[in-house]
Amino acid sequence: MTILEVRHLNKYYDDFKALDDVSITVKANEVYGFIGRNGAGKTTTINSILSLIDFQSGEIFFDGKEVSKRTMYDKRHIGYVPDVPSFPRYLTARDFLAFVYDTYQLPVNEKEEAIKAALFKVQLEDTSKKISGYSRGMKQRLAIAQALIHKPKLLVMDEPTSALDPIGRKDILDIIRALKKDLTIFYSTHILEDAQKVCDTIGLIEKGRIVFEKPLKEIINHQKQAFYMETDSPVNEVLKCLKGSDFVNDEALFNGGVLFTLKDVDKLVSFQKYINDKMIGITLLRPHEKTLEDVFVEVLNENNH
Amino acid sequence: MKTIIKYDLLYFKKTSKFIVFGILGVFLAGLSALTAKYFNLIIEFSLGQEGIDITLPEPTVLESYTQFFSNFTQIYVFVLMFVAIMFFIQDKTRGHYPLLFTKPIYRSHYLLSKSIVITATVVVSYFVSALFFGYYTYFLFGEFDVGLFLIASLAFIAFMLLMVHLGLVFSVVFKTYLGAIMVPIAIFILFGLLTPLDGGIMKYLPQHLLVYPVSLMAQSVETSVVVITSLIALGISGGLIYLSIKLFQSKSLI
Repeated sequence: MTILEVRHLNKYYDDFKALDDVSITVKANEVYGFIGRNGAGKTTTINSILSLIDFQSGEIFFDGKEVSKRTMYDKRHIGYVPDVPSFPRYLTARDFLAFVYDTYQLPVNEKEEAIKAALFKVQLEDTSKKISGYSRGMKQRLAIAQALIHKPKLLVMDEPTSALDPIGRKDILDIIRALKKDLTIFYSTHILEDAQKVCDTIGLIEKGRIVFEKPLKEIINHQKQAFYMETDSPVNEVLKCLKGSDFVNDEALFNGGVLFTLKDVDKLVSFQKYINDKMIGITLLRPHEKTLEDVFVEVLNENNH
Repeated sequence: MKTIIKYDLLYFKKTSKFIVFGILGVFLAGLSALTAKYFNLIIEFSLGQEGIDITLPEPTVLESYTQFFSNFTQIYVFVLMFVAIMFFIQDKTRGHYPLLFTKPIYRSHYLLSKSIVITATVVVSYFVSALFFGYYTYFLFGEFDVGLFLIASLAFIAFMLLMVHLGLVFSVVFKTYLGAIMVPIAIFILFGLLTPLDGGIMKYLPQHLLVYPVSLMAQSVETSVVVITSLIALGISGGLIYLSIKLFQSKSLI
């Protein structure tokens, strides 16, 4: 079942086309990783989905209902975590969560329980302190707590780990892992390692256009096959040899060996024979599992040529 | 709507703005009556020290009213505008909009709440100050015209609300505090320059509310003119609220 659908979204800032025919489909109960470089259009897409900005053309549907700045159904059922959340500094976490809870017009007698549950989920305990005294990590946890307090159907997270140190980043990823059992998450990031850890589907945006939208497993498995090779010859000579061959692409030095992709995986035996004929002894040859980052760079390179 | 009003009231409470307005108003009220009563004596005393013997006329209650409205126009209205515009624009300048407007909050309710809270603050703090002023004036001068003062107060409150709601419009238009405060202040100065234009229907234009409270206490202007001008100013304030909402609804929030 589709929970969020963006159809042919176009957004201009004066003459600059920020979004170019962006279409996205997010299925219920998945973590959708929305990846792209800084300035690719991730935040503009999210701001459009959340009706924070206007767009020139296109449609957005949440749970089958059209989204606009006047519609409230989407606002009642979406939780949002910004990249750098800004809270009223004079409030405590409890004050802010109580206000957020009240905006959803939920039962008053369940308010305290809901606040406690939201704080527990993000492991934020000291709620008597004013938010002005919070660290970035604590603010990010509070941002997640306020986004969860009304039990949303969809959680939209805009680069929630980008401003955090490694420990804070790990904590947020742990929270996402725990949350993904119960709700749909639209997770925007440029940290591909994070996306690979938690996402089910990946949408890649580049220069305002969606380059692909596929399940993560499919992306990793269906890319051109990569291999890592070590030999008894100097690596530079091996690299030179690979460059002159018709079998390989994208050859590069990697961890003391050579990393390359075969144009045709079925020609692996022929490739080995070709190497042996060049008097190079292969000491190790194994498939190299590509990371999302490898795929990202590859796709963007293809896209830019 | 109730929730967003609570949120706005919390701002005034947690940042002690209620107390600031209250203390400022009461201080100016007390100072006005005292200055009116004893200013001539102070001048006579100071000049006497310099060897200049002068006798100034005994101050009347009218001087107390004049001091009160002058002090409130010159100090209270300015402080009010600075605080009100900060209150209107701070969610924008401090980046609170993304968290606020991803909640089920209507933009119209958001602005109406701002208007209600600031109007309540103006009315309550003004009347607390006016009550203190009335008591102190009566104590010092032995008289106080409650009826006329109430009408003069209506005129003055209508003027303050007009200025505040001008601030509301420009808080929606501009992205920075400085931009939002400059235009209403320029209009305030312009109002001061335009007060001599009072022929025909011009006398009903709201800039006259700067001088009408004192004129009314001196009974040099008709009560009906003051009331009509006040109602026009309140009507314009209503129009400014409507304009703010329309502008706010048509804009991208970030």
